[in-house]
Amino acid sequence: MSESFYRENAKKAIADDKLQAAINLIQDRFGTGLLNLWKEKPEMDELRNRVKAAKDKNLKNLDILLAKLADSVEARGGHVFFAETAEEARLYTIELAKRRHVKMVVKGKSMLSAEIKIDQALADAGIEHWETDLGEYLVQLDKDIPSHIIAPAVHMNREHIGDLLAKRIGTPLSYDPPALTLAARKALRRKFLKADMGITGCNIAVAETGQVSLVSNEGNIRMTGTMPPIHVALMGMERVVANMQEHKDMLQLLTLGAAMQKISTYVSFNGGPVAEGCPDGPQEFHLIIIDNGRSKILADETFSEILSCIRCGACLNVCPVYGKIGGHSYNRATYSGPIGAVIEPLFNGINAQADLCKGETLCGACLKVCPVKNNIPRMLLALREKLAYGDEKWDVEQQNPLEELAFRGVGEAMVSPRLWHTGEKVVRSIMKKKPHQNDMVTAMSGPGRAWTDDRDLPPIAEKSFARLWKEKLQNRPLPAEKKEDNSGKDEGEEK
Amino acid sequence: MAERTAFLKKIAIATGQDGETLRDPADFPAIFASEDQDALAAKTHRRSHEELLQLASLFEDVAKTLNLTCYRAASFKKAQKIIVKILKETEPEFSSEKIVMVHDHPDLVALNLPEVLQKKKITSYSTARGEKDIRARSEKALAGITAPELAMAAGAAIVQRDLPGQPRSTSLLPSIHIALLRLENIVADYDEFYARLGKYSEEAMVFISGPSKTADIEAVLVHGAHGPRALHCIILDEVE
Ligand code: SF4
Repeated sequence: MSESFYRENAKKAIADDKLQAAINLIQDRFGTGLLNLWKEKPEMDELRNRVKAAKDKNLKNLDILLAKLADSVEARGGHVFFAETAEEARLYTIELAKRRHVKMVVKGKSMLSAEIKIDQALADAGIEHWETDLGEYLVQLDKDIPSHIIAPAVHMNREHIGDLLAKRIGTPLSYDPPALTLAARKALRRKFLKADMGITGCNIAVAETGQVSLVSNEGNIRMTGTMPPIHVALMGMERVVANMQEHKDMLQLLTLGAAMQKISTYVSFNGGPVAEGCPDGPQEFHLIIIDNGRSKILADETFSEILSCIRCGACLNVCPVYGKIGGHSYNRATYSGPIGAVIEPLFNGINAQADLCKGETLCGACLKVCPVKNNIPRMLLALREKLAYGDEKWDVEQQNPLEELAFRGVGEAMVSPRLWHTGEKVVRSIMKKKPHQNDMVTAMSGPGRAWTDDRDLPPIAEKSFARLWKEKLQNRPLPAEKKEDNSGKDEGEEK
Repeated sequence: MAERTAFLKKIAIATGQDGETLRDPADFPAIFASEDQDALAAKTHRRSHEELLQLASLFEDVAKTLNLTCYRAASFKKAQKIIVKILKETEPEFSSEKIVMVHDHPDLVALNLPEVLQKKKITSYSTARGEKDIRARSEKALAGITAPELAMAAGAAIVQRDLPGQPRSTSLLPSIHIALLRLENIVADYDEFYARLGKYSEEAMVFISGPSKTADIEAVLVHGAHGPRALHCIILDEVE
């Protein structure tokens, strides 16, 4: 992916007033809302720290937790498959679908399913598949991809959606959200009732009980895990907690982080085929535990913290960069915003996704809002460092050797006054010849252009501070030295 | 099994072990240890009527913000009347007839619904074991009626367990959901709620806190996405 792709899309997004308004609305409601909540309820801090500590413990013992989870799910009669790669996960799912003569699949919102590109595999196998989260359904009909973790269709306005539904599923033309929702309710209900397989993600898996728990407000995920005879749950390997007490804590952070809810409308727990004597629920349950690059992150102390992410999407809702450029500008990657800026490079190549981590501003809002306090700015800097100098372990090619050279040059100059002053003179004379306005340089050429394209540059002062110092102040008469003893005062103030 | 071993070994190595032998969960009980919840659960059973009424009020306050409609009934008779009224006022969505699915629960049996509803031209079916066509009937149903045995006031959430005679779909497929909740089944907050869940958490179950909803179109809140478009909760405070 070239740098221009990110920039091109970002520019388009910034010029799109409707998109800006839509993102603003979500950011104001959820992002600002959550920041305020953390401020107003400092006692929540304890909960956040507790969840982070549990996540930490669980990541360090992930082998044990996953073994226990698999045993518990199997004890309930479910099947467990461990997939090291996306391809293994796809193959397992498709083979299962073929074996069971699955013709139609309904999907309950799962980022991981997009990450492992299951849709293409289903399509290639000739299996009809439908997203059932309203936003994702609209995005699918539009042959597009989601642009927000919890608001997948935030980039679509009601006119666009009304036209789309009229054209694709033949509903009477309307731009009224309730009418449009009702149309989708009808269309998708038929699919829920007809589907042979339901594919969901997994928000939190509980090792001890062997339960996969899923949250939703629409009820589509309950439908997906209840109506079709086969339920396949895709789970990122880090998404496991030890017991229900940890579940209780994490659930609260997840629903608060995602949409400021005390609890989501539905929190379902499934971990096996339907129990004996129960009339509905799947006959078969498969849990696919997926690595797909996560163990490499786990092994690296610099980045393992990112596996504590609960995918609430809160960081998107405070990020000034996401707020301006929207989700699609992040190279149309599965994950966007601050969380995407860290994990996409780690998953798909730091060079290939360099723009994602370089585009963020390091303002620190994501760290403040993140329910589990993931230090995203720190990790963004670490990624940039790898780009600046290259890195073997992550297979990073130094992005701009000239830049390193230039900074080495500046470094040399900084310790040699002669070199420094010569450089200063050269730059000053170049700047003088450039167009000025209000005492600012408005257009530079060469590498300076990247700066003046978007903003003006103050010129280097006629006389540097060092020079002024020498001329005027160095030999000034000094006031008679006062005898001051501050130490006693300081001591007096210390309590 | 081979793929499981290879997978777990890779993780073991990533966490700094040598990856030669896999650790057995049974050797690490501390990782799964949780605090004993029995005392807290017991406390919730000892509440006075007064305290329970306070919890019911809290439940109702939160419910209001979630578009969950609450009622109070001092007797089964009263609860029955409320249900009839709701059913009379709700238009069927998935069929021209009014069909009601009723969980197999003693409190719901006590409502004597089949007889009362029949007079109003509403057909009620039990979901008890052995009943036929539960799914086909549920697909057409106007309402599903359940009797949750636990609820959390702080989130206005009720629990539905996966039990024989109490299918999941009763609170999912019908156009609306009606829950008959005994006052004494309400607990205060997350801590009490999970303490009381106890063994339930080994079954499939779902927490429900309002009608199904979405805000995916221009952040406009719409009730009735894929699940029931209304949830009515009747709090039964039986005064004998
Ligand atoms: S990084 Fe934090 S705020 Fe962002 S999605 Fe993950 S948990 Fe939520």
